Amino acid sequence: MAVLETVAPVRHARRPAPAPGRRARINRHLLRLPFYLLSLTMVVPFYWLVITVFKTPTELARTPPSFVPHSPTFDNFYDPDWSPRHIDPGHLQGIFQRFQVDFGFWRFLFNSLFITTAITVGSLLICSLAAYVIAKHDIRGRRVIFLMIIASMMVPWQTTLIPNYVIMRNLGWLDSYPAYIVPALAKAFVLFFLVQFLQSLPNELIQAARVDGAGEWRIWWTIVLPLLRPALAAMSIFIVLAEWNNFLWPLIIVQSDEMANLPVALARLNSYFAGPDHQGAIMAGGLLASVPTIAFFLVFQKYFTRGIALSGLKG
Amino acid sequence: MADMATPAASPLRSALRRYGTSSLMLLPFLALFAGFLLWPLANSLFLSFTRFDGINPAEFTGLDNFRQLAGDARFRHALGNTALYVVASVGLGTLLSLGLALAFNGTSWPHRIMRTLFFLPSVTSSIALMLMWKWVLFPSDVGLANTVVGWFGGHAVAWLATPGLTVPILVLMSVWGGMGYGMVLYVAGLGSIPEEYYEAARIDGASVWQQFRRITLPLLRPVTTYVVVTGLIGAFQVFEAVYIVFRGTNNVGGVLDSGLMIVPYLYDQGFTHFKLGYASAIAWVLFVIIFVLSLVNLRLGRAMKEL
Amino acid sequence: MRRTTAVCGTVLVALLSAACATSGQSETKQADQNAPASLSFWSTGGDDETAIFQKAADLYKQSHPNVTIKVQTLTWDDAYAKLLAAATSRSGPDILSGGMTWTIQFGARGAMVDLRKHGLDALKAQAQPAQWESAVSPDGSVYGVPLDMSTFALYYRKDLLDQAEVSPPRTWEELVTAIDKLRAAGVRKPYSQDWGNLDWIGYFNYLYQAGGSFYTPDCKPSLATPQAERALTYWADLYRKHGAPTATVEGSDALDTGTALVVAGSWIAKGIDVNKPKLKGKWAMTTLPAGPAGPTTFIGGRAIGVTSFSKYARIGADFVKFLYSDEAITAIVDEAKKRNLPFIPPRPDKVVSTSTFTPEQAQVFETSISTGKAAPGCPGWDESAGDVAKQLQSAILGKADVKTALAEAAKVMERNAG
Repeated sequence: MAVLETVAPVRHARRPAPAPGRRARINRHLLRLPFYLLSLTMVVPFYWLVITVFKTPTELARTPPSFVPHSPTFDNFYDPDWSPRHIDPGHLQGIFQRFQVDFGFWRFLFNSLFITTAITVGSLLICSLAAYVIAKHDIRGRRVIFLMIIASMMVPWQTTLIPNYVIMRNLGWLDSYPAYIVPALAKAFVLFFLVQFLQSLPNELIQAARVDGAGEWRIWWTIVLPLLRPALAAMSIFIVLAEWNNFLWPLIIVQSDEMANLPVALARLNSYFAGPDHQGAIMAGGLLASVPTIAFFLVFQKYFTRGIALSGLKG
Repeated sequence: MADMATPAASPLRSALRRYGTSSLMLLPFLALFAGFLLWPLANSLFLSFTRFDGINPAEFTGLDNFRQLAGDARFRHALGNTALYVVASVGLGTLLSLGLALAFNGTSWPHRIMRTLFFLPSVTSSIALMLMWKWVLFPSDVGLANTVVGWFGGHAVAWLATPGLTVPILVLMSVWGGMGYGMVLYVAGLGSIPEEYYEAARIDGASVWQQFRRITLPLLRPVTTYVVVTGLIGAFQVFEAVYIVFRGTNNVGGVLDSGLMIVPYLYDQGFTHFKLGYASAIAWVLFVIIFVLSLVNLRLGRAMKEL
Repeated sequence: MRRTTAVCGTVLVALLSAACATSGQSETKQADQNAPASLSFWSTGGDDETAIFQKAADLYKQSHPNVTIKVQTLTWDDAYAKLLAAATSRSGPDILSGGMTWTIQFGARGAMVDLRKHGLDALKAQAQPAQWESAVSPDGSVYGVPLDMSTFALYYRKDLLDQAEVSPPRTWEELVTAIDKLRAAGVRKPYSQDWGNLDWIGYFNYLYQAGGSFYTPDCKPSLATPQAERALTYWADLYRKHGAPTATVEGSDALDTGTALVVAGSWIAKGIDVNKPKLKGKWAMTTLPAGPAGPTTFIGGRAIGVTSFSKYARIGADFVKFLYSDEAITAIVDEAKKRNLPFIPPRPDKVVSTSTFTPEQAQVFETSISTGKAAPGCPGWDESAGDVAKQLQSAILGKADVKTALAEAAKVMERNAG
């Protein structure tokens, strides 16, 4: 139960403790002041990003820049007045008009969502199965397997970039969803974490189910997975964030425009349009790419901090 | 499995069923693990001893790549740059994470808002953040950074084309984006310190500073180890910040290679110079660095437990 | 224990057999020439440019109904990595276009078809000689031919020049004087460079204008010469003494934000009036100021070639040849005009007659192109270009003196030459 014990106090965090006197309290607030000021450096760049999205191209090119959009507009998402035949510097393509791909930017949103979901679900299933065997089955060689997996966590993934590319080619998977998903399923860190978590749980429930005649698959599905829930929640956060931001691997395996994920699509935008007037649409793309993960965070905030704490104190 | 066989039929069958199922449950993971990690790893190890241009068959050259790396001034420069970046970003990031955690570990709403705010970069699309920085640091007067400089009477600064500013900007970007994450870890660590320790210390008349020195800091040591070591490992692998923000047409590492790091150099050698064998050798140097760091992590972690 | 041994054994086998894992090279089987063919063409550039080449592909289909060519965009930033990945796996496009020397490099490694096999060396007569030379491999193979051209021009703000009573500079000396006069007249940003800023392409112009070159005709590095020194001294002084910015500002933005003289690529001429309507009538352009040895200007552009792993090498080569025909160039330029895109055809005789630019602009480009030189096609140049740029930067940024920087650059070129 070590894991649960170390994290449990977070939920009941009671500090700062009963007030130790007025002067000390003022001192503490004074000590916090620089950190409140530091938070400005958080707010300002984000604010800059957001207002950029709502400025017109003309306003974006103006110096000095404005800090409140003069005539807020959604044109950077979709500009109805833009036309490829009639060029007008006041009307540039919105982010949804920039990609010559069916469904435009939506396609990349879909790709990223689909790939991230598939990898998260798939790897949690596969890793939890293996973790169950390693932690709770008494089979020979599990120690060796586990050691090998731990050792592999120390390998920077860039090492396998080229060989994996050749494998994708041999399988005929280039430019397809399997190339995104399949190599990303066996995650050593997830397995390691789940094994650690399972080892800290008592065997009684599993034993009882075995006595009742339940099969191993059934035990995994009805007992192990529910027991693992906090660990699975923690891991899903890591997987989602990592896959959502994945860049170098997609950059290499994607050949056609429509198979790009959001980071690759955004990087392409950046390389082609450099001027300040295009920044509105680029930032609009960045904002859209961030909305799903930020929403995910705001909804599951509790699990985020707990999950990170769990990994930090135990990983 | 065969060696589990016993003369009795029914234990044999049950053993077979048990171990058969176990193996079957392990199979998906092991197959994928072997196919997309072990096998490619072995491949890249082999490649690091060859000259391989990606098109013609690899040609075995023994230790040539590693010998060449030892005398490669650009690689040394990349190592030095990376070391500087790693030390600065991890040092500064850890200090600020701890400071933030101490400042905002309560449950009141200002604290929660502050925590959320500092954590926000961790859940924002990382490419979006790079593009944001590129826009903030835009070279002419339309950029935010130059506007601020202008308020203080300065001239527009070529942020991304001034070699001396490259590593500081990379450090800033990394600290800015990462301190909220470390803060969350530290807040959890603080929460696990029993309040009784502080009460006892106060009864003994210990000052706030003494409480921090004698209770908080030592008890946070495992968290610090984790924050520092994972920070180091991540920082050694920095790529996107250099690639998106600083890369020019002919220089992967920015002006005068001022932002050249290990992984961007690996990418440069492998993907713009056709030296996949050489790039694999670089990857294995990175491997050794990170392996050693991880061992230090394990060793320290064990030492902590024994304390 | 047996299981442990088995696992270790498996790992060992994996390690050993990895030795044979990297793919060898094999001759690609050609498809039946009369069956319907579908080719993919990876075009480095923007989506709009893809559309203009698609127009040519559609036109080709009219005369070859069996052949469908689909053009796809690769952005400049990641094109090279993607093409390398494709060459590694011997799967990808049938036709590719990219930087002038890319086809040479891919060709040298067996990934491109020598177009001489399909008679494309005949295009030499139609191409700009220097550009053709830089597309041909040192051993004479033709793995790619020029797809388009680009060059430099000096863009200037007429209003600011008038205000300072300066005429557009025609020589190095006049340029420096003009900058000083502009500054004296209160112009805060007299001069900047867009294309080639802090890069070897920027230096190229000065080097050749001073009578120097990167390599001798027989491909010996030739940067350790008085001409190269003179060129670098002049160029570095533009930054160090005359305040040229080291941060690259896009040409039309630079003009728009009050820069009086801007050295930039030919392509920006197309967009200034539409993107910066305030500048309409206030700007003009001319050829680069000439140096002591003349006005030699860099000619860039893209090369196009056919991959050796294509099943339709003959058709691909035929399409490349078709791109040099009058009708294809007309179709491409017409579409480019509609989309307001810059495009200079690879045939010098077409630069003015079939142009997306105004006649005056096209005239300036033709003048530059007629005496222009292109990137060196010597072995090892591509590996060296980045390092050479780095040495030039260290001279400009005052980290090394001109002589040392050039000597270092020459050393790198020497090493990479073989």
